[in-house]
Amino acid sequence: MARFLLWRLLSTVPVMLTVLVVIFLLLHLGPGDPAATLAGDNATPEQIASIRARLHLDQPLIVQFAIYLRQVLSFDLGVSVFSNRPVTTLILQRAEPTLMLATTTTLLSVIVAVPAGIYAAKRVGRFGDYVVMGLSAIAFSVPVFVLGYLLMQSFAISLRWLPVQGYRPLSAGLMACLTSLTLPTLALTCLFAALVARITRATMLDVLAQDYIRTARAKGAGRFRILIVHALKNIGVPVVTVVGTSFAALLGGVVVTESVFNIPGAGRLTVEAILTRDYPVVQGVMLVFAVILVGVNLLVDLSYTLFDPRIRHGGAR
Amino acid sequence: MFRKKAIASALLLGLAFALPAQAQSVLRVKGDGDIKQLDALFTTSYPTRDMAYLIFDTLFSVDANYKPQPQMVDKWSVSDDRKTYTFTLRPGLKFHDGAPVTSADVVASIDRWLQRDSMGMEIAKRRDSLTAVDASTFRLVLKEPFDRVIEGFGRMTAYPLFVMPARLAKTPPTEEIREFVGSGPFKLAASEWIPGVQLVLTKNADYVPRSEPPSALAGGKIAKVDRIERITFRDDMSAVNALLAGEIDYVSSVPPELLPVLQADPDIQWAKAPILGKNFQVIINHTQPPFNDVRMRQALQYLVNQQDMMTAIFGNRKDLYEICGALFMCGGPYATDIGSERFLNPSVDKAKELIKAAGYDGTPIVYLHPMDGKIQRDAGTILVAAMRKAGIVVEDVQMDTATMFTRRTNKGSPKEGGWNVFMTGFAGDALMDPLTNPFMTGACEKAWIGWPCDTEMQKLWQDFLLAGNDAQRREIAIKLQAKANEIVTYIPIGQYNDISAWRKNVSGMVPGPILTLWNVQKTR
Repeated sequence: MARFLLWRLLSTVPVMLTVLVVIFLLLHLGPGDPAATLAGDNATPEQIASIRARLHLDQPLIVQFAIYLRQVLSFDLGVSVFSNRPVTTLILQRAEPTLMLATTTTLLSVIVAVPAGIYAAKRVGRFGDYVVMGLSAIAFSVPVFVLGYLLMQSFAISLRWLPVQGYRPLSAGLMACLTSLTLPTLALTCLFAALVARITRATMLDVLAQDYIRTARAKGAGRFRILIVHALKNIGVPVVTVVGTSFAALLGGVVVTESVFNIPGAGRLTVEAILTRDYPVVQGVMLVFAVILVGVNLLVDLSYTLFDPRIRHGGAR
Repeated sequence: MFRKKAIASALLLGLAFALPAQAQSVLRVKGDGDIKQLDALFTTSYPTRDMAYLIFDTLFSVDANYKPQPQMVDKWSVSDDRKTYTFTLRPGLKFHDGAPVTSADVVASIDRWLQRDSMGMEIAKRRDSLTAVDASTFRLVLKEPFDRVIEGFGRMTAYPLFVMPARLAKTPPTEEIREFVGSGPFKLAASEWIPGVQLVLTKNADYVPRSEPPSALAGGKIAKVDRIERITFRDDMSAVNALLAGEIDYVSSVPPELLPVLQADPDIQWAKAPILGKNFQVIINHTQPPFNDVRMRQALQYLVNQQDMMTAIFGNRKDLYEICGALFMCGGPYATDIGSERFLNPSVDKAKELIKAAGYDGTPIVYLHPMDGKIQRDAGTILVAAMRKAGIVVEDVQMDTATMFTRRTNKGSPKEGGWNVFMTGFAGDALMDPLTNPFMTGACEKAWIGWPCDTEMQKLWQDFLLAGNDAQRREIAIKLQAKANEIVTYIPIGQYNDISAWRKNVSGMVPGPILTLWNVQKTR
């Protein structure tokens, strides 16, 4: 296991380097100049040139990359071109809403979708299956912003039960925080729960067709016991994979949901930075996302051993 | 009995401590855009300037008639030879860090401004000395008379002269200041400012307002709420929903399509703001063919159909826009229609005649077309269609605004990454005055983007700068507009107003050319 962990950690180095190079090139070779945007409409060419020099944008690309790489290697993500604040600070300011929203959405999705998927598999080809699959098809197809506005209109504007927008941090109290996250969580859960329910159903159907399930039935095991004891554990690997990658995607920021509910999360930070060509922020956020994605994938891989003892990372097979 | 009284007293005492002495009044505002910087000499961003007006104070400010009135200045005088200006500050002015505002702070602030602002540079050219006479008096001595000093000190746009402590004002104007200590009616709550999320201001209890009633940016600025929270929204619909639900109190700019939603709510009030309005402008590259031929530029004037463009943006809400021929804004002090006949009477046929006369050979022209802003997107689509209808081959290069900002500075040919036509949007407070209107110059390479070249325009601009009275200025402004329309420095696409909306428990908005939040109060 230790060897596996070490190998996986070392394998992230080329991945991270590739991410650094690709993001850097995409940004710097693409159109747009943060100096022109920062200087504003009335700026003279001299003023723009002065800002370009201050930001090292007048240097050759390779020099700019060397400066950036040196910063990253010293765990410094740089300073925002526009707000003059450390990128690390900006990311940390946006991390809590994103992390909380990702956690509540993932938890609710799993709580709703796994039982629904199992139920649909158990009732395959019958009314219950059609209902679950029909609802999941609708939930997966409705755009999040449409659902968001509908939820907002119903529960926030008409009934006044929940806030329309904004995020209350945990420091304001757990209930206040969860209340502010209720509508965005519901909107996102529809999408993710639909996905998890369909995967759960498909995997469960596959597992239920296995020989050992037939054997368990032949030995007189009850339906509930077959589902929970024999089948559930064996649907773990694909379901955890989907849940893990969904969680990572949520941590990467859900721009539309964050915009509709005015949640100051990482997705909005990324889009704002891209639109203004705030290179250090885009680079920093992308690097952090890459680290999160690699980290979540590693955890998902490690979790496989819990569900399937046949999988032994780095050991004898 | 005594025991009961003692318990009751203890309960009351406990309650008194448990409740805040008086709840804070908080004004929650959705402003335009986001605030990432607050150094209004470093950026021309309108949101930055608007917030800077709340934090910093100015020596002079314009009133509702666009005339500069003393603000921090108590009294001032000018010598008979019009070369020596002496100013005395109002007593009791204090910065937010508690230090008194002294003339040394003012001199340092003026020094920084003189290096950045175009009017400031005109003053700097003529400056003999600028000195602090004593703690509250400062003096500006000019080498020659220049009657624009007070106007410059009271400038409301790009760039206003905000007064800050000398230790901050000594920062070169090419560098951003990092600490925002002003002497205005509100203080920045620096620890609560999160760019992209919110900016928080708190009432400056030490602020001594002028005694005159408020008038646009002049007069008494009274902080009537304890706290202003300026919340950044990326989605207009969410902001409108938040206003309907009472989660915010004021939205500075509501898209016209959402106005019916607000009109249906009896608790919401709306108005057109700012008072002078805005317009977007078609900008033409004078240096590149085919628009280096004035006939081609005039043909483009015939192709800008303000009615079509305004209808595309505002639908049937004719109350929200006007067809306007004034390059200095309809309703502004220099409004006139002179020379605007071509775009006030659009005609594809007349455009075709001019295009034919110019000998246009069918070379494709590059139109920079940002798609992330509704006005530029929709009006641009109409302009591209009109150009094609008139026989111009258009390469409609669709992009985002940030890309357009960069590409429009390219002076090369379209093949070298340059351009021919694009649209931009300066607000009315800049366009209304020939000195702040960026399109009233013929300075070739040094002119604003588009680089028109015309010696007569340059002379007229200088004449306007030095004109001694309003009548002379108006006369020259009319000539400037005629000349600008003749050589086509820009074409306005119609004048419109943003829509501000607020809950009815909010009152006291001061009508003005920019968003001001002093004197605004909120009842429960």
